[in-house]
Amino acid sequence: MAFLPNATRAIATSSVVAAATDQVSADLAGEAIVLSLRTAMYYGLDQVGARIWELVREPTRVADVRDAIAREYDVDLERCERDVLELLHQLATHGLIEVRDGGEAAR
Amino acid sequence: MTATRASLSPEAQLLVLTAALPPSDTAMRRLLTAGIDWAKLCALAQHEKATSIVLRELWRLAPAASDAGTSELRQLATASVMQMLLLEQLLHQTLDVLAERGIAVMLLKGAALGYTAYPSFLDRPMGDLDILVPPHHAEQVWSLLQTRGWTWPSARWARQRYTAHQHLPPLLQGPGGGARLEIHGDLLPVGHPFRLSTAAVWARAKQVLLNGRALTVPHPLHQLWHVCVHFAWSHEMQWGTWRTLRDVAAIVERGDVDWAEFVTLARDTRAGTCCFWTVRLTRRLLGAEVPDRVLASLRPPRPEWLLERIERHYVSNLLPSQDGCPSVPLAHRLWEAGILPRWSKHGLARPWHVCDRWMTDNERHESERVRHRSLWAQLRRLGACVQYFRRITAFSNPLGAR
Repeated sequence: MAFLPNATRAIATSSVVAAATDQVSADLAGEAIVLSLRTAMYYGLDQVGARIWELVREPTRVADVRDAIAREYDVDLERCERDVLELLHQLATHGLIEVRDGGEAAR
Repeated sequence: MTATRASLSPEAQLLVLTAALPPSDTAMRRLLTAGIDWAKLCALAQHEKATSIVLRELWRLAPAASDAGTSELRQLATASVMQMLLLEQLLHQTLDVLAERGIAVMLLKGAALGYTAYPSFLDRPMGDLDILVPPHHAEQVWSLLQTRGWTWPSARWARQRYTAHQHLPPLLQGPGGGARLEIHGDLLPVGHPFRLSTAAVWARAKQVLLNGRALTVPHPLHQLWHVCVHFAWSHEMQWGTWRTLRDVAAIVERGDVDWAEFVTLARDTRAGTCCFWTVRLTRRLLGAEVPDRVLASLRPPRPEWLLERIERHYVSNLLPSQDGCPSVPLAHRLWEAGILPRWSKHGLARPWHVCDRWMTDNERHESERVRHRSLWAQLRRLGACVQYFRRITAFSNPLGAR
């Protein structure tokens, strides 16, 4: 199954996401900088965003990203899911990640 | 802490420490605890294109630290990393274009070292890309790349200023012209005194594989040679210090330098004193493991007490500082005192002659105007020179850290 860039498709916890191929990134003291090769735009991610970015370098289920962040930052699972989905949606909107529909609609 | 490094300001010491591989955490913590002027550190790091590495090292020591100083450093470092990401992409695009045409390309300086002496390209910050092509292809490459997204701001870099230069006028690309490319036909400008031909560099060039792409880079000996000569001769040990020290340390750390061959190469090519001072300063300031026999073989025929004092002058001028030499002619004489151009068989060739060729008529006129100062201004300048000379030649440690 191929990954498709999809800015408008809802991302569900069952979705699988991965960093897009047409970008390059670098870590910088706990944060991340991403350069979209398609748009030549730069994006900065704070510490948590950078950790999420690290987790999605390889195809990963959104639920696994959520669980990792909730565990590492000791945050409420529901809130964590909301924030993770929000960030992933933004990344997808800007073409920085690709989404494979897992079939379950986001809450 | 070495006496040599102690003569630098705390901010300069901290900057220099971040160039070591690995840096001394103890020494850095000591400086941070004693207090740092963050504005000065940011200015120095920015000047030396070291912001991303300085931030990385400081964050490694104290991840939780956050104040106005580190915030500014982070902003500068972020901009630096953005540029490096762009530079690497443009480099690969440029290499692809030239490969399509079957034009041989060798990476030089930071681009070559980024892929051979450092964990990644981004670990070796640089202000521009330097590539070497066969001289008969240089013009063709320069014109070709201007049809592939690179632009030449002719008003800024007039063609005629580069007729005797080792590279053609720089090309720019990217947002605000943020990426700069220099196409070299030679390693050094016309009029240099060294006996290393570019053909010899091509003959011993090596191939490195990166993600299935073959990159041509200079032989390790030539990489080290070029770093030393570029710093000690072209830049008179007053520019690009942090990157130079770090590059030498990285090459030494890499462990593939045949030191006996390097000494022979340095001597045979009349670069002995340039190599001596660059590796000596790296050893003194960063603790790089340069063998004693190398320094002994390359050292100028001068007593150690004199070399120490000349070294103080060089260290005082490695980075922008209020303790730097107040006179350009004095700085030239002290440069000669350590490099010994006549003994090194350089003849009349001097790096500032290359700079003079660069001057526009306005710049030359301004330079002449500055030389004809009032008598009072000249006396003041003379007094400053005497004070500076006394400071670097005193038999006690003349420069205390501020």
